[in-house]
Amino acid sequence: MIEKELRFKTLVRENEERIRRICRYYAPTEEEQNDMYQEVLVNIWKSLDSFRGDSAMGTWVYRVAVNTSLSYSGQHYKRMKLNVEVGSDYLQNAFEQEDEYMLKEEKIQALQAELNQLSFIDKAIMGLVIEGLPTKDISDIIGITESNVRVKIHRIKNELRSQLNTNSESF
Amino acid sequence: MENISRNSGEMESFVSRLKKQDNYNLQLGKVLKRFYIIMVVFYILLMVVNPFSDLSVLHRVIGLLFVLAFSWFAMLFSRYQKDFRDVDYGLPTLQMMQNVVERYKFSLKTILQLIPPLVMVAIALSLTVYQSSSAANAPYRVLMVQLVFFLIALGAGYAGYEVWKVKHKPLVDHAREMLKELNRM
Repeated sequence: MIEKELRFKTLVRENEERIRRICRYYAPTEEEQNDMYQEVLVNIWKSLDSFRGDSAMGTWVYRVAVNTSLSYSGQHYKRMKLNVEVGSDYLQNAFEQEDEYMLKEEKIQALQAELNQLSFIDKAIMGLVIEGLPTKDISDIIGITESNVRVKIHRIKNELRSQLNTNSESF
Repeated sequence: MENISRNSGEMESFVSRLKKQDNYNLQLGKVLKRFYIIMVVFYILLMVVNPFSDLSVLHRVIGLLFVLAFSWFAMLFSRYQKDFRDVDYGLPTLQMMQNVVERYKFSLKTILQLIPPLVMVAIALSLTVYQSSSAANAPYRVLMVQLVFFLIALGAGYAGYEVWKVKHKPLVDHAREMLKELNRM
């Protein structure tokens, strides 16, 4: 039990910020973010005994955080939103240089609105892309093949681009 | 809601609450297991073995059927509890969602697992009524007790289905929706 407590505290200390970011993506208010954060910690504690080390600890923490937020969203999923902070450095991770126009200040709000039109899984994948995770890690977390992840990311970005273009043309 | 931070003593109290809950679950599991074992032994001694009473063979068979049926129910209940307690959030999302569907779906397997103990209770009830009835009205009383038992079982089954529909079906639907999304390119 003492060893578990030590592992837990170390893990939370090393991953607190990334867990909080994941919670911020899915929970709109500070209170809900704290509730979700607490739920992630409870699930980390519950699942720690079954961690066999077959994936990196960081990937495992992401898995618990994403699965908790998807399950948490299972209770509140009609209100689930991907909240990306405007001006967030992490947003740069999601788009390449040719998409620079998407990262302009005036486009960010529109981009965020479009991100929230995505399905749950697409939101979860984009959340991990924004976190800057490589395809291999996203594939480990979500449980689908790397090529499938790549195809999904490509499709999501195309959808976002086309939506943003349509919206800007309509103004 | 409190804000658990690595820089505060709140983490200590949070961990201590988690440990307390773990200990409570562990103790509760042990106590329930011991309780079941003691009750099973007690009822076997009282209703099946009992060398001092004038129990007939039929009484002993009835006692054995009740003990077996309730042991079966207790075993199913404890497995059901374990399945819900041991959810692993560290699995890949795809596998986790498949497990959610498996855990919460309304399955034929669960219904089939309930049939043997229900049949045992039905037989035990029929034998109880049979041995206390005269030869003339025994068939009628056995039939009535079977009918009442069947209606009660059906009612309980329907209530269970309604509870599942409200509590678990939305989770299954949500998980299935995500699985469909995950499997779509």
